Amino acid sequence: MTPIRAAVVGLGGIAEEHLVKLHRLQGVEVAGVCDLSQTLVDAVCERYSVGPGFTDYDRMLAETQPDVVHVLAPPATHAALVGAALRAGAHVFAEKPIAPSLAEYERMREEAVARGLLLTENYNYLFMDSTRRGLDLFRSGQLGEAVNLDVSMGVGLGRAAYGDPDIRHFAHDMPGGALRNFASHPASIVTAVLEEWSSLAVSQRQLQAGMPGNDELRALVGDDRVSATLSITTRSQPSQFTWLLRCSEGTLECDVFGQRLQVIAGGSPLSKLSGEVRQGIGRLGAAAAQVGRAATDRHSYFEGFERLLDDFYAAIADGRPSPIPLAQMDATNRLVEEIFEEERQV
Amino acid sequence: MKALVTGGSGFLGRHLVAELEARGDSVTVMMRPSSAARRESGEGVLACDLRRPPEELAASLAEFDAIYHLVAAAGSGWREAFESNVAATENLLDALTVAGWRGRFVHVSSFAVYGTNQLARGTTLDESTPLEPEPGRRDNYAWTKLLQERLVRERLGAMDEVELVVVRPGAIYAKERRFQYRLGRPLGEHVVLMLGGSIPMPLNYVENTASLLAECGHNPAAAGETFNAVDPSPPTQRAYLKAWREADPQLKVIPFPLWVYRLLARALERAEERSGGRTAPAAFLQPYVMEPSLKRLRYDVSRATALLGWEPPVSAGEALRRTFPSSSESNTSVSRRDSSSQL
Repeated sequence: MTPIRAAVVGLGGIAEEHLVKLHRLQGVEVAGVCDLSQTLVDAVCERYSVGPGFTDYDRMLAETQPDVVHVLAPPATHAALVGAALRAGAHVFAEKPIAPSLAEYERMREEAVARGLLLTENYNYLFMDSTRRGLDLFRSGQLGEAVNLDVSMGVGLGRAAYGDPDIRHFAHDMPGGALRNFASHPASIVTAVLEEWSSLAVSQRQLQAGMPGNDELRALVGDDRVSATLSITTRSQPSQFTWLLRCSEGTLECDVFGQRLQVIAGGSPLSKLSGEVRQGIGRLGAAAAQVGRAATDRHSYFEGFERLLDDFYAAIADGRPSPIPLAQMDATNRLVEEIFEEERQV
Repeated sequence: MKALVTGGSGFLGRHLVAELEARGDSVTVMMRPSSAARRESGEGVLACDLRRPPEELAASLAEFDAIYHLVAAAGSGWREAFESNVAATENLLDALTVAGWRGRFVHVSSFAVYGTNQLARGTTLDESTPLEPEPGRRDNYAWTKLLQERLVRERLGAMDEVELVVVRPGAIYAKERRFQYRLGRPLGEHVVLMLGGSIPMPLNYVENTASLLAECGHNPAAAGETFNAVDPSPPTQRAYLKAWREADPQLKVIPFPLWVYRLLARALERAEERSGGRTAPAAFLQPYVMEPSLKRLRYDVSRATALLGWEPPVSAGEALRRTFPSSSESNTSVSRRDSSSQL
């Protein structure tokens, strides 16, 4: 079988995750990599045994004719890079945020649909085992109807590139700044439960000096039947990402990075006891998995990414839709856009 | 002599600036704008982040007779290491090219550039030892330091008026930097997992590194040469930790047999092969990454003395004493008792 040819544009920090995982995927070959710096391109080609390398994106598309382009450059460049890839007949896998505005996203989406190509934004945390099992259980209806959802993400950015006083991180130039760079992750959990909403109120604050923008966000979103909160802070350590979904017949509590899912359901003493035993076994398993991760380079943050890429390339091979439906990308991008609209702020 | 020190506000940079000033040089320190803003005076400071240098950098380099390039990053992700070690160096070289700069360029490389994995146990490592043949398999620091040295040699080799000297220090240490990865792994502020114990460590006391760098900037015989910076009589891991424990009774040393570590690392390597790369071990458990720090080698430190007539100003014993000054008498006796039981 002819391998699927993947090209990568934008060799920033996240490129390593893409290149390493592409290397492991069966039936996929890296057709080319591209960045503005020739030295960087050469170094990456040598380090990851990929190539050829390009500093001219159009030339890479023309010469390598990729089936898929991974767009990993800063979001402000995505519209041009994604557009060129689609016009060259390539499916697109884009890093989040796929665009700095809903309007730019919608133009990309329109072009992809018109050309019958896949356009996928990296919501890797939806594909973490704990999240996937939890959402599958919710969708199965065993827990009844959703009542409310709390999604909370804390990432410590103080020491990372975002807080570099000498080089401004690209995220600070988007509407919403660094918070927007992460918003699609918790937003994609919200839209997995709540596709439409009738109310949205947002509070953003800068609680600590040192970052050039707000470092805390709390959004309250809902319709007539379900309400959800979405929280992001960029100054807590260690990084944590959790969601709690209360339903009419049970509750799901998920630690996304810690890969733990707690299911609280049923009212009889026996079912409570068996639930506690299952939780105990689950925690032991999670502890063993943490030891395994410490000894390997399987960072828990990126485990879902590997599964998402597997599914994405399987969809291309089989001519199926992307594992992330366009409807969910629409809802997520709309929610993120609305969260950062001025009139929503309280 | 007018000297510019990139990374001059860092650990090695501060010592080098003091050494150059003691020799009577007029020294300018290049530091990031955010660091420069915290200084009381802007005198002797060139505010510049080499990762994104200002266009006027080239013009401001012309006045210097010597440039000491110390900027480096360790312990960060690959892209940060690349930005600080390679991209920043490339930007400086671009500015030197634009300026048509002439002078002495002293480049601080690293022991990490050597192809240590390919050396047999007991081999003598010196400046003629081949460089790493597979940079992509090493950690981010070694990989980017190799790229950096390669870039410096290529670019400055094409500039007729530039005299290049490359200095490759071993593990630079001082009181403010006691932990070395050649000891093993840090498990906390006062806990060290010692891998092995009897391996000699190619240490370089920071004042000796600074002295050699200054000598390379001044001595005509250094032009075009490469020097390792390693102190004579390298102490073993155990001797180094013993000195540390005597100064810091809180330090706990957990010995871990090297053969068990190697067995574990090889088992993980085989598991990686079997899984098609899906269970790649963490860097500190990859034999190709860690072995260069743990290999039993000899070190020939004679080249700088032979060519430059230079001797390290601080003896190995004195360097250890300065790094680990003895605590109070009672603490010392406790630490000795503890150290004998631990080591």
